[in-house]
Amino acid sequence: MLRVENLGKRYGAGCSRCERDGAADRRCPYCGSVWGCRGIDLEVFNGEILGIVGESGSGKSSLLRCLYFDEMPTQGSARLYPYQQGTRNIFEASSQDRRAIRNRFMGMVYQNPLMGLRMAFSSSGNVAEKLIAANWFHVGSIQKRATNLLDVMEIPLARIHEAPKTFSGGMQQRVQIARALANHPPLLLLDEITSGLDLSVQARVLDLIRKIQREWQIGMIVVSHDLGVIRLLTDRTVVMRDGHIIEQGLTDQILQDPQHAFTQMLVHSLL
Amino acid sequence: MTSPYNFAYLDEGSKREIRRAILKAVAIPGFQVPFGSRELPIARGWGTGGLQLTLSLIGPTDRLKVIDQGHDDSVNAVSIRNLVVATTHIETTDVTDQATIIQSRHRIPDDPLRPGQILILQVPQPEPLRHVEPREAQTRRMHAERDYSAVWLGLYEDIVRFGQITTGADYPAVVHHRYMIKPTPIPRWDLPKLHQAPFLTLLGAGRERKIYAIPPYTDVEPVAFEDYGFETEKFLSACRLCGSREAYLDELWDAKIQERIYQCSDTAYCRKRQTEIGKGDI
Repeated sequence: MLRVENLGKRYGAGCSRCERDGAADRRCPYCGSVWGCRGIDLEVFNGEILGIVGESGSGKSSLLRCLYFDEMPTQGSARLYPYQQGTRNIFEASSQDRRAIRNRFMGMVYQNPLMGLRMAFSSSGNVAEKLIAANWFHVGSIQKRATNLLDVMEIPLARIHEAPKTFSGGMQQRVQIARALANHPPLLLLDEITSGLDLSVQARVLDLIRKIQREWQIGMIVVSHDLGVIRLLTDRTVVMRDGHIIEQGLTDQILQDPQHAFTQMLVHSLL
Repeated sequence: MTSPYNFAYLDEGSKREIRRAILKAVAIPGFQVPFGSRELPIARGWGTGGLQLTLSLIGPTDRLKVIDQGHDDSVNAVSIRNLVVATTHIETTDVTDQATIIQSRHRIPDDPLRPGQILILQVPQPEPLRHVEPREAQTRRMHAERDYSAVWLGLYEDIVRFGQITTGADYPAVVHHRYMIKPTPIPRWDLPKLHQAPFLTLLGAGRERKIYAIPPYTDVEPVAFEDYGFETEKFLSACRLCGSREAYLDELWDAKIQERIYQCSDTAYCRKRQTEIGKGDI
């Protein structure tokens, strides 16, 4: 479904030295540029959930933002099978094509609902926008699809015409998921979706994600610093630190038998 | 008579720059071309964009018509007309057919315009995406990517809430199947007049420093859903002065008879019809 090779995102102008010294410090001592992530290689298969775990600042969200074109990577490539049968690097696509990829082949759920939702528009409108972007121009069909999705996400139908700003955090996240799923994308990106939610709401959101994955067979990348979320949702896990992948494998294997010292510390630091 | 002003007020360098922007706007229908909006002896927001277009295009043999909401005699129209006349000494007219340049605020004359005429519209806010995206760099990117779903979303929300599209004026339209524009706050009634129009339409926003154009015989398609099409305003009554049912009507309240009355918004059109039906000029 998705193959990422040697992906890197640098914040700052960069210099010849930090280009050359690939495995050196995250911050270039000469120009001060910082690599958000670097040398990332990973694959996501159809219907699989890949977890990305790491401490805050390890580069998880930078990676996800690059994959959703919120930021353009400094180096590397990504091939998404539904886009030209995976023959072309999606970062080399034109800006119009990138927008089409975002709208048709990917859905994104942000940690902060403010980034993923238009708070001034209704919840059904938020779902509708994604459908309109994918050339749905029949109001009846759009309404039907939006209502179905919001119903699946357990948003009370009496409230679907209300703006998400009047909703609780958990409801906002569920509206975001409905919006991300509007076009039935083959790949869903989830960035720390349970942060800031209390445990019962977290459980409800995670149950929904599992239900969707089971029924729709969508490939997902779940970014989290919470190993509980990773354990519950994912098939395979990638562990990141200082912008690099330090360990990857089956989730059970990573959690039961971590090999890297940092992963061991992460696993054993569970409260 | 010697005038203390340069012909058409603006200096020749400014006119040249504005003409270049106009040429670019005509070459890319619907694209908003930035230009260096000049200071004029009227306040920004009172038609400086339209006025700069008029002043940069007008020549000694032109005849100018200026209307404001369809009226030839409103304060804004009279002030603009007086300024142009004081600096060019050209002839002006109220008759649409006789004018070579028609500067208008919020209306397109109800008399059909002919090839060769230039319609100049004053624009307060040219950006159709501004209400959903305040950043200029982002709206430019959205235009480049034809990312207009937020505009459609506004109409969708209208339909969901009110059962119909409630946008009365400034209805978004797509020019030449490419750029979305705000056709100034002209009523929906006037929008079909821009589609495949035989005349050139120039739109100028002085405060926002943008010029855009609809060349003659260009497609202008109002945004519409498959099951909720574009509709113009409907009037239940005819003009009380000329009896027209084919013109855009203003709704007025007559306190004497305690009734709602309608009359043509385009005063020149109404006068012409009254003459035709023998009611004489009023």
